Amino acid sequence: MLLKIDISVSRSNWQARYTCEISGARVVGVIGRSGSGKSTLLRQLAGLDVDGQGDVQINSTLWQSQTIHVPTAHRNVAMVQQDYLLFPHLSVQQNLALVQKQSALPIADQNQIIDNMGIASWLSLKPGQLSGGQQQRVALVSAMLQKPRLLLLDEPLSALDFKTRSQVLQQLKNYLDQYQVPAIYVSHHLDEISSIADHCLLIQNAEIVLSAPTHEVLDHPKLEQSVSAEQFGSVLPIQAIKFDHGDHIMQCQIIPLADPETSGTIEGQTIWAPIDAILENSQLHMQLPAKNIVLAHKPIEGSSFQNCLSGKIVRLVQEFDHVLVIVRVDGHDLKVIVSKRAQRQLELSEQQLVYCHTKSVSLLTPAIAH
Amino acid sequence: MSSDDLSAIFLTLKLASATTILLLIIGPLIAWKLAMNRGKLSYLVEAVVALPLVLPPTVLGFYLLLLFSPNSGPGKFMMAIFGEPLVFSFKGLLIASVIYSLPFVVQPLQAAFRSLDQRLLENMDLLNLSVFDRIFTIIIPLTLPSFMVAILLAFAHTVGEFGVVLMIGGNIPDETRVLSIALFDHVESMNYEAAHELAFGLLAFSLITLFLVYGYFGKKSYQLRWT
Repeated sequence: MLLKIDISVSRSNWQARYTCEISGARVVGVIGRSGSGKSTLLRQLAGLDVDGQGDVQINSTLWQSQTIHVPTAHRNVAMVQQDYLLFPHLSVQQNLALVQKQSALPIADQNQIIDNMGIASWLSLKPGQLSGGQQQRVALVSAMLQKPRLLLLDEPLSALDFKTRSQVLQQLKNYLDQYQVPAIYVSHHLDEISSIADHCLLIQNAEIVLSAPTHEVLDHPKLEQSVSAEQFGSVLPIQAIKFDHGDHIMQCQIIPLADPETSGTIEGQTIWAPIDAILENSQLHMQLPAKNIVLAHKPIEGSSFQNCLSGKIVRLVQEFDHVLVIVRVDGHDLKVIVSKRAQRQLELSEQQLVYCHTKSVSLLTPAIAH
Repeated sequence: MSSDDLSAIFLTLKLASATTILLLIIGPLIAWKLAMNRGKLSYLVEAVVALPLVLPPTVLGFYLLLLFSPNSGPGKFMMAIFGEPLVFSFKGLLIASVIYSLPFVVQPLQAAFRSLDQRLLENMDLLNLSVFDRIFTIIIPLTLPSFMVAILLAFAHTVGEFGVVLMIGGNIPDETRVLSIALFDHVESMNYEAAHELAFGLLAFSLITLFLVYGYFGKKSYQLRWT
């Protein structure tokens, strides 16, 4: 899709300016802290707020300019929001029927989507009888059935538990691929963004500060200011190999990236992660929060750390009160945050070999890659 | 009960039903506009709609009498449309009743529309729902208790009309002689027994109506739940 945005919004004591031009990408991820203006951007794109000045163009259609403001109803956008709005007095089936009536999808495809998303058994229930996560799934299905020109997803999986989140993300990805629906995907979860978005926008203080391919954005220094400290970190592609039914844990392997310095193929290192059995043999994106990684000169023994990855320090970035250490593990850059004191005591320096330790449970729930 | 009284009851029910039906067409439109637009003009419209609440019915009746009079300009125009003078006719009474009971339909509906979740209204836009679906699948079901309150109040208020009818309807059997007028007649002619029958009937009807409004539908409109 081609998406050109140049909008400024002025409200009392709050201003936003969104400027970017994206071409070629189909799913655009949006990363930013809460309150940074992500939802405002989506509302502007949907045409729900009319206070934005400027231009919005999607492919060859102008949605907004000095003289035009195409109303929401004529934009053919679908939106899934965090509060997953369904009409409370209608059953799930009736809610979906409102969309199905005017859907461009064949009935068989519609039923397939309903089945794939696992909501077929709730059709006769009212939204109030469903959990938040279930309602969110229904809202997502409703948006999918619409087969919109642009799918706007604002934290669409926020109410889902870990297991369903991976499955639903997989279905969503399949759907977007199959029907070639362009989407904008807002999320706090870097793993979701990493697995679904090919392009990414970084929003800070109601401004797009970076617009680039997802992998560049995830490695960009500006990322740290755009996500919470709990979320900041790296996303590694992994392969779930074997589920240990006794310990309820998945043995995974990092999918290595060819390193220009080391020739030949390398075997990815092992990670034990709290991943559901159903995801065995799938490729996933695993988020490793930078704060949760412990560095050591040699493998730590006799501890509860389940994961120990060896790597080489490629870069040290001095921040005001901490040091960002970039460790190359199997060709991927792993971000680690340590205190200045720890750096001094360990005498960390570039090219040094280190071991990165994490507890399994501190790994953030992964999202499906393929 | 005399046949005169029965025909007065029948006429009253006919007037109240017709008034309520007309109000159900006009009222929601005005209420929707007032709930959605907050311009200066809307305050004026709101004030005009609410006038019957505070004006003595005789004031409204007096002006309608002047307006409907075949001697006035608008009266001539309306006579050309309806084919008969509106004063002292059922049609005139119907128009007056609609105006007189308008706030009882507009006010509860306006409050209900305004309390609708803004995001649900946005969702109707996002889904590009047809006007029919918006009205009959979403808005009316979501505000149904308020519609019931509006219907009951409009009906009951029209049944209880007196001043306006006296001014522009007079006392013509089967045309404008409604319950409250018949009751007044019985009292004038000291026929207290017949007066009691009508008065008590009206009292009971009004009490039941208001009980439903406050107790059942009123409560329901505050607790909209669909589980």
